[in-house]
Amino acid sequence: MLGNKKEKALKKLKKELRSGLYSYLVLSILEQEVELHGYAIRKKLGELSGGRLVPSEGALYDILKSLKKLGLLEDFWVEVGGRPRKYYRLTEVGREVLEELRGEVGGIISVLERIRG
Amino acid sequence: MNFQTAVEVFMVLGLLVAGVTTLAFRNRQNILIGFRVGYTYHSERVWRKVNTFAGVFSIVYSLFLLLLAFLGVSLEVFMFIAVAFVLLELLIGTWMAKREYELEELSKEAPEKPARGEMHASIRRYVLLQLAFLAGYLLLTALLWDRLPERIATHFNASGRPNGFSERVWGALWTPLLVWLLPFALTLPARDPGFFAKVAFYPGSVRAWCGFTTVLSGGVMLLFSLIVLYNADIVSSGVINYGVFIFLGALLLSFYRLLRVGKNGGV
Repeated sequence: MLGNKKEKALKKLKKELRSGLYSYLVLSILEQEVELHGYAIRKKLGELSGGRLVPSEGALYDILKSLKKLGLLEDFWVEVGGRPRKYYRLTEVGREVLEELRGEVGGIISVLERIRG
Repeated sequence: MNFQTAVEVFMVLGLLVAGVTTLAFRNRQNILIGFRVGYTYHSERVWRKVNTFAGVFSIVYSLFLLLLAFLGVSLEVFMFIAVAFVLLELLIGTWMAKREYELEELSKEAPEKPARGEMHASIRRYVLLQLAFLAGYLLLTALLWDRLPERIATHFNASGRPNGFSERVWGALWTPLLVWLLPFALTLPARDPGFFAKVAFYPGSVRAWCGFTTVLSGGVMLLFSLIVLYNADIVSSGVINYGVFIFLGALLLSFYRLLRVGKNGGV
């Protein structure tokens, strides 16, 4: 019963922690790689986190959609091997927002370090 | 069974056959039957999912329409509901196909972005033209509204004699608006290049496809305008016949272009 409660709380908090973090990570990866396919974004996240931070296809789909809606990235189709493939790149606003977020993330990291002593 | 019910039942049977065959071919991609857009042609999984939805949805609303036909619902209301269902099916099917294809995209390995092959599609001028056709028609109808009788002629036989009538609001406003929506709904998805399949038998050019739907839109609005002018006693029914010939000629030409056009837009 207690184990179940702990699992539930952990799952919820992990989800909350990751949902904002994924958007930041996707923007950062796109800034570095310039133009990437959605599959490559997932792969890169997996490589960088040792497989710990890999959103599901559904979660990544929603993140990309939401970032596009906010005007932070744009998508475009490219024909590859007779099949349309969708690639993503940052917009100018996306770059500016990422720069602002970087300061925010830096602040969070320094607070965490101070808590840990 | 009276004439109106017979017409309605005939239409229901057409929709029912379309639904049943769509469901029957949900596991087999083909060029004639089913929800055939780029997303469904490029993925067997998406084809199966969208065509299962489209087949079941068509069968369910066909049975509902059959019930309405036997309840004696007027032809105008029946048509309105039928077109609304077809539009809803188009919208949901396209949305579902796009979402499922894009989800699948995220699980399929892709190479680094090639230097060439970026797909662009601009449908702005076609959308504006179709909106202009609608605006022109609505303006004409508004100007002649008081000259139109309460029941207007909406259908004519081969010799130009009217043989179908409608209430003014239905015949001059709602029906034209709904019919205009069909080519418009077929044009909008073309703004997304993934909507078009990269296969030999599919329209090779977005421009040719939008040209075809725009001619269709212009043609039906021309015919509705002539019908309004006839009912306002401005033109004879013979003019409507000429309008039909012009419309069919333009439609055939644009259909020919659609079949013959190359991927770069040249015939």
